[in-house]
Amino acid sequence: MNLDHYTLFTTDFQDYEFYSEGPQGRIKKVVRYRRISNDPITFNLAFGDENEGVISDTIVSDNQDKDMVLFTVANTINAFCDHYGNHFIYAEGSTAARTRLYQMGIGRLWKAISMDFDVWGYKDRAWHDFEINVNYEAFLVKRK
Amino acid sequence: MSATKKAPVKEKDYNIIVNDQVRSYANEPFFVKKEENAKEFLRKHPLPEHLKK
Repeated sequence: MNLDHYTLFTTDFQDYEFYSEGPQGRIKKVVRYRRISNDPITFNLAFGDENEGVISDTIVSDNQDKDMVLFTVANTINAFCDHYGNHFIYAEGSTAARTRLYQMGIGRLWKAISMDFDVWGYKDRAWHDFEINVNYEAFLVKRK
Repeated sequence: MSATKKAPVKEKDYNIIVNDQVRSYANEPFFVKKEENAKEFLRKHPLPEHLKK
């Protein structure tokens, strides 16, 4: 993937920071990976805005750069996998609405994302191959 | 022993700057809660066997 994205900062390739820039100003974003399962090895991807030292993903920042933010997060997956291996990565929003935003973002950029990643969504008590315009409760991603 | 500062390294492919300025978020309550929620979700809804291979 080679679309517009922000510069990432990291120390250990598990925690990443970058800055969204737009009409609402400069907003610090943080992405963190942590192993949550050993069978199979699965890492949690958590993502939020940092404001005065507090992280949250319930804020709608409305900085008109959501695709750029999503591609920047996708770049963290690539960087993380380069250093820790192509394992499953789990992600969900803090609310159903937030998870739906993630789903719509993946759908919007599916052509590019699907070139590099396999994606599954959890729905109706089962994991399914990701499909555009389907609402899921959570996602799994694995780099191809 | 004096502290040495690592020179920033720029990862060419993903526009990443590696430095020692990013703090650890290991104990950040937001992330701790997210990780616990994720563990619980996967415990209740494990991956099917065919995906594990």
